[in-house]
Amino acid sequence: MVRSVVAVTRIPSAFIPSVIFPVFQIVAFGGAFSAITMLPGFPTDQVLNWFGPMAVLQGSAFLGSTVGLATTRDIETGFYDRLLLAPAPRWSLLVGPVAGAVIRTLLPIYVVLTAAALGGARLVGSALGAVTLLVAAVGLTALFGFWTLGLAFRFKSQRAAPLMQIGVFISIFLATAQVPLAAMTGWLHAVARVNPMSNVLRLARVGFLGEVTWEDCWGGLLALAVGTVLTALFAARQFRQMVP
Amino acid sequence: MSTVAHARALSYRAILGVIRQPQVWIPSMFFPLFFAALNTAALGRSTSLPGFPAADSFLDFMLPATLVQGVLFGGVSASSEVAQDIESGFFERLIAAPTARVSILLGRLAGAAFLGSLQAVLFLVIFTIFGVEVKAGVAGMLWLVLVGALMALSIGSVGAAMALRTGSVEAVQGAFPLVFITLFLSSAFFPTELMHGWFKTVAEANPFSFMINGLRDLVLVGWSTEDALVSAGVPIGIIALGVLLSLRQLARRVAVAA
Repeated sequence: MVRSVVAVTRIPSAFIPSVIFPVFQIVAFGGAFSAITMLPGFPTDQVLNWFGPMAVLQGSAFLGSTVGLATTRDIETGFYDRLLLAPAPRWSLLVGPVAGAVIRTLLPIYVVLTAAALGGARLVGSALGAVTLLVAAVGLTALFGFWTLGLAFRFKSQRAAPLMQIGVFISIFLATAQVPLAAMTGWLHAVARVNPMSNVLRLARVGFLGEVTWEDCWGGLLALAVGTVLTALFAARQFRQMVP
Repeated sequence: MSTVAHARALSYRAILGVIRQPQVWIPSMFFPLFFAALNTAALGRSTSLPGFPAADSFLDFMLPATLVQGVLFGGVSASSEVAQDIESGFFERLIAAPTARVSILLGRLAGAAFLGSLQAVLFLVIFTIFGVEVKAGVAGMLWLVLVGALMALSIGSVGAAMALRTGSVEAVQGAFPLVFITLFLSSAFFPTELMHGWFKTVAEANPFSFMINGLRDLVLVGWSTEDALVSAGVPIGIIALGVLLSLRQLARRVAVAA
């Protein structure tokens, strides 16, 4: 876990995109799509109250995916073999990097949220809204951490990097990332309605759109809990196949 | 063999090189189409907002942006092949051979233009299947293909200059986010009439906006010679700069190799 946290300063190139990309999203989406708040049924008139939490989640999810990228690098360089020979419990090789990523994700959350606040994003409801955003972001880091860890054990190559990143990108954008369900049309509405990521986005945004209510939170919490357990099982299974 | 024959042979090699590597051209087709489908479904209702250009659908609005995006991304990938040649040592073998120096550059650029126009045709076919009608008719469609080829030439020439300067695939690929950011800070994905503040100012001054607005008018309104010339003027300006830079860098690298 400590090694994973220290990677922030050791390999900044693996960390910086999880900050730069979401900040760019805030600038680009907030600037280009500011008029979409005029759409009927749009829940806020401050566009960054909508895009800010989404950008935070995007950064956290990308940071989660660095767990898999770092592991494939360790596998290719042979460092992972040395880890396997070390007298450490095997489960720590699964939980350690993900726990490290969860700690590391606090920095992009802080930076991206500051950028959103400078652009005008504000909590509308109580401070509990900040907690729900934090839970959603941290949960997503763990979920994608385990998912990409599983992919790393399966493919054992940095060539799997696009697969890891595209999974993050597509799962978020095929949800209510850009507009609420009511404003969507066609196929995207059908997909976003059943995509659990829409619930996670609702959990992240709830404090920026109104008062925090259990009704707006439970779906996201459930999606994160089930998703994290399933991806952790996937990672454990791939690990057992790689290291019989 | 003449310079033209050398350029033709190298251009053929460049085209084959891209076609044989699906991982180079598939993302430059897939992602723009994915964005077009996504934005059409997500932002489709925005066409009813006051100030939005009159369009049959958001997909019609997205056609020029998708085409330019695809050709630009394809161009970045294709121009990194120049750097690949330098890294692999093939460039030095070309220099050692009795090859006309300028044909090395011309071959690459001709290949990029061909691939750009091919991409533009594919985008037009796909959008037409999904019901988009170019109001400027066949002339407008041909103009879109021509501008696609010019855009590929422009990004190809700038990318070649970078590749010749750095000799690094990574450095050329590093230009990808810059291209994406420049495109986003324009009218590509939403009309500037509905933007606000500094973003609107930047987007209105962005040369990509002039080009995309010109193409967009051909798609949404009909043929206009002025729009057509403006849309082609931007890539032609970039080509002039890119070719100048490339020739300088080519001369520098040839001198170093010699």
